[in-house]
Amino acid sequence: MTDKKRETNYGTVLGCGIFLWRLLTSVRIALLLFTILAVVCLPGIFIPQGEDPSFYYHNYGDLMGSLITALDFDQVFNSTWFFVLCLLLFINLLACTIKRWQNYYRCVIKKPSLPAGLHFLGSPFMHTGLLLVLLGAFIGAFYSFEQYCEIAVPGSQGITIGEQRYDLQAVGFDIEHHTDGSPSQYYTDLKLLKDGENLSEKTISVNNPLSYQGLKVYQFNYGWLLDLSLEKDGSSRNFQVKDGDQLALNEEGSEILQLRFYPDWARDAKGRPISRTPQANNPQLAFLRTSGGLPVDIVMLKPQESAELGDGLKITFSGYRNYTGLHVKKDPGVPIVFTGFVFLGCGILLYYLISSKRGRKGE
Amino acid sequence: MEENLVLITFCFYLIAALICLALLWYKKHTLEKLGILCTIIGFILLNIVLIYRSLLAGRLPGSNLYEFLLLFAWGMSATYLFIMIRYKLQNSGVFILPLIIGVLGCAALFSSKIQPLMPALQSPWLKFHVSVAMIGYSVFAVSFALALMSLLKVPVMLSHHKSLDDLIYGCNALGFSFLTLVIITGAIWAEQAWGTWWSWDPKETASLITWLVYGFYLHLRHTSLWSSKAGAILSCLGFFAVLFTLMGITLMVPGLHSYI
Repeated sequence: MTDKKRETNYGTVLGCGIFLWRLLTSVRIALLLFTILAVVCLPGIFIPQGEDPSFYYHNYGDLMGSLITALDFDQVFNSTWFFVLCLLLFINLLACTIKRWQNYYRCVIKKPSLPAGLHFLGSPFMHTGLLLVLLGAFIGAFYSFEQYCEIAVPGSQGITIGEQRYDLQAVGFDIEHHTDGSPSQYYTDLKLLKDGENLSEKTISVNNPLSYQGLKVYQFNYGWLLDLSLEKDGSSRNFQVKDGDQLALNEEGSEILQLRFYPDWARDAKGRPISRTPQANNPQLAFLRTSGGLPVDIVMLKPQESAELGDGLKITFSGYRNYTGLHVKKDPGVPIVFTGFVFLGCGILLYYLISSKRGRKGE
Repeated sequence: MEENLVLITFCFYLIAALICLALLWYKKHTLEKLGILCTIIGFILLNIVLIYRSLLAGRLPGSNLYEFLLLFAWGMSATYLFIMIRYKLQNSGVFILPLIIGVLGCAALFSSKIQPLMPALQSPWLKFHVSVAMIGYSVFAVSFALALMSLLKVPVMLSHHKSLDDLIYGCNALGFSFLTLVIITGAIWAEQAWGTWWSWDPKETASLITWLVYGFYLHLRHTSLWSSKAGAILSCLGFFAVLFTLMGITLMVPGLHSYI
């Protein structure tokens, strides 16, 4: 009696399981998933992503702002529900791919006819490729390492990935320009070291990263680092700031020094300060001192010059150099994704280059 | 020189479109031939514009919206002429030629100045990415025109025992394959230039939406839900997604892909 009951229970569970599997793997669910994914991508385009919650309250009003943040529309592509949608698509695609290989096996392998057989490989190949792309994307989402770093040139910075510790050493930096003055390429002479041992060495540029066993270093941007020293009551302190940064002169932060570096200082037709070229032909550093948000004083300094800021405070502009902005990345999903691309490409080629008609005529 | 050439090209396509429109009422063989002749002259002129510009810039066109729109018009003309010659598809010019005229008109709105390439664009992938996009989008444009013909029930004469539906399907399947190649080449390039093969940039997301719309179309065809009307509506929707990806995103939403 009890055994029988258990069996029927088991039967219904199995039945439900089969029903759920068939539902999840049907073409109709694929169509539904396509629609949902296409629709939820729209807020990802029109609503700026990854901003602070206050941004949405300020720009969209209280109601819309709270809706956007509650539904994760401020980070659509990092949200849990988007991940679940992708996972459902993955399961659906997996089942569909298996079915297509089964069909291929039944229709072609058992009744061989070569040209048509290759043509009908197109669809299974494309589906397998897509499956690999999604798989690689999942692996990348969970196991990729990413870091942005700014290194003074010359200079170095340590990077820790898992238990491995590397050193990135920027030896040189250069910018090439078009004849109209716009930058044509940025170059960093880079060394990748581990425990003092040189692993790899390369002059990287945009579109040409350093690559070492899956670890990649990309040229991302560049800027100026300024060496300053502050003297007060006989004691002095040296420090570095980035062009465009602010310095607080008191603890409350009401007295602020804003910095702007002009590598090739000049005045334009209206008398405003500009940099004629990005090269350091006539370097000057501008300090704008504000108190309680209001401008108080402007000082221009050339390298090695000093200025009194009042209250016995003296600032010296001791030097300047470039920093290079590097993007360090290790994504174990990339090889899988690219294998998927190869499958997709082969699938398209097989589908179009080998006509199905030739095969049918042969049959 | 280049502006005038584009203007003359524009005029030839305009005359061809007007002739096609007139053909709806006055069926005359000579008039039809004149229409095709105007289209062919327009196409030859467009080739001259593109070659002239390539020689002037020292590289193939396709690095800003103006150049891409010229390429887009070129691709549409080539696809249209191919379909005209192969399938003798009458009346299709009424729908395809206005698209070419519209795209050429849009091109005139953007700067035609030849600018040096910014660092991120300096890659051999630029050629592949842009040319597959041009082919894919052109085929989608033709499929859109055919879908309009299907929706408006324009009388169609087709050779080769094909229905309009089959032709739309053929265009969408080919366009979908090329769109897949656009996304693949873009992803490989992005991995080299930006460090990620996919970064959910607005243009990437929009091209994914386009891809999903045509993917929906291709899968719907294998279900019982299929009807030629649904197929035609989806082809129109897909082409709106293409236009949105190409122009809407570049003009409306800031992102990595804003190369005007």
